[in-house]
Amino acid sequence: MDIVCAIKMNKNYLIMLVGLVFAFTIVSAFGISSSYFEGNPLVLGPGESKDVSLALQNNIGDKDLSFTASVSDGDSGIAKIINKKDKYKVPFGTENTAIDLRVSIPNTALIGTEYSVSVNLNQVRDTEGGMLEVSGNIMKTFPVLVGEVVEAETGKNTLLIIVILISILAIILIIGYLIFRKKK
Amino acid sequence: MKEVKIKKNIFIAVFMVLLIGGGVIFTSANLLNDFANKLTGTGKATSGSANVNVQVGNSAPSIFLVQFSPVINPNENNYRIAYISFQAEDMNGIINLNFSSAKIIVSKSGDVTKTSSCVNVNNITSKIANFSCSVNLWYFETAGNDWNINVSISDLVNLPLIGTKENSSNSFTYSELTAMVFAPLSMNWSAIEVTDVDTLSTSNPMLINNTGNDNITLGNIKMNATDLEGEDFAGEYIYAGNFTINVANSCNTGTFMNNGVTLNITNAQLSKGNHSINDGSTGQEQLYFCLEAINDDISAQTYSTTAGGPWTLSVQ
Repeated sequence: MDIVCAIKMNKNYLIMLVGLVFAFTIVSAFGISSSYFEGNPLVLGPGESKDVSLALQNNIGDKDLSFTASVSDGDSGIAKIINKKDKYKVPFGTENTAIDLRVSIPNTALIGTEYSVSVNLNQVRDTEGGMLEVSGNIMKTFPVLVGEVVEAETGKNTLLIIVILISILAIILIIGYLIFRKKK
Repeated sequence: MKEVKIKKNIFIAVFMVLLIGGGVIFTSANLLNDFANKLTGTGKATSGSANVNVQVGNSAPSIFLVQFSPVINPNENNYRIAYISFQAEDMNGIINLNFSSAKIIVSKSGDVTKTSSCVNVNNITSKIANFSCSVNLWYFETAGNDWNINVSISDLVNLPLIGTKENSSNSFTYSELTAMVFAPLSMNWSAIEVTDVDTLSTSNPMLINNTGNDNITLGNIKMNATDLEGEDFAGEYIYAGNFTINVANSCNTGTFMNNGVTLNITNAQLSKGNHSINDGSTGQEQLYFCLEAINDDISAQTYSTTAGGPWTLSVQ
């Protein structure tokens, strides 16, 4: 893209002529997806940690795109980008470029505490000589909720405990019975 | 007599040991868990057994092994095909299954319901057939972890909806995609006099389409502006503060920019929706740039964002 400015004096007024000569890129398009979002928070217990991937998409247009990425978590320090790159290159037609985050909840976090983690994705554009060029930025935010560490096997564990208790009870009964018989 | 008592004690001891040992083996081999699963239906999330109806002379089909991806990501500006498969069993043989009745219903409560037929892809045994189903999920459809899957098949006896499988384990998460496309990438003005005011860009409007399923609400479309610096005489500027951005095609309203500061564009929002409707609001927003005025002490030359860097349109 190029701009032509011309000048001419006319009744002491400065006239600037600005015109578009050529455009290189037509649109800017990209996206970032997350399986955690408002209404579907990442739930972790105190002291727990989980790696989360956010996927970048570049399915519109015909250009490969580049981005810088940063994370913000409201100074809580619970999230960081792992294997961070200076630039994330997203080839056209792909959607598997990932920004990997590690979310770690402090041991001291209280149940019910909700954090907010944001990934700031900033498009890196080569200048094309336009007068007022615009690049794109997406900030993807998802909630992190501190919850009880849920044992998925809770119901089964209860049954196991019952069996173990019955076994112990049986052992006690055997020992008692044998002692009773011996005394008799 | 004593020998009998000893044998009795040994018998009791052996019985108790067997009882304990059996319990331990039963427990350690997870047999109890399996048994509990069968009772409570808390087995694998992606498979299960369906209701079984009984009719004299005919065995109703049952459905199991419903398989699908638990998380599906939307496809930017397009649809994503969700593939779901299941197996149907008929004790009278698969010849008794009504293949054309196999169907899938994918729904999000209060939002959308999608129905599609399924195809028989292969037969596992003479009594078990494998079916494959697919549903198109569009980029603008609502994110959620409660997308329900309902697969069903009937047998040729024409019992209605026999073997319908629907429970909480058959649901998937449709991720949230924040995505946009905007154009043009460069805003220009045709002719500007230093005394001119309220000059709208000839490139207006900048059209933003929401190509994901994230609702971009008021206050979440922002612009970070930079001063436009002279390309021949550096140090001379058209200041960012001379520009406004508005959702209407007019000047003097909207948001005045500020160099290096990210500001909300007043009244701008980008709802999720099918932007191909192209009504200017469904999945769309339009921004109008205005050069309100120019300092009269600057030279006539090219001014651009080349030195200061491009403005940044941000959605969140």
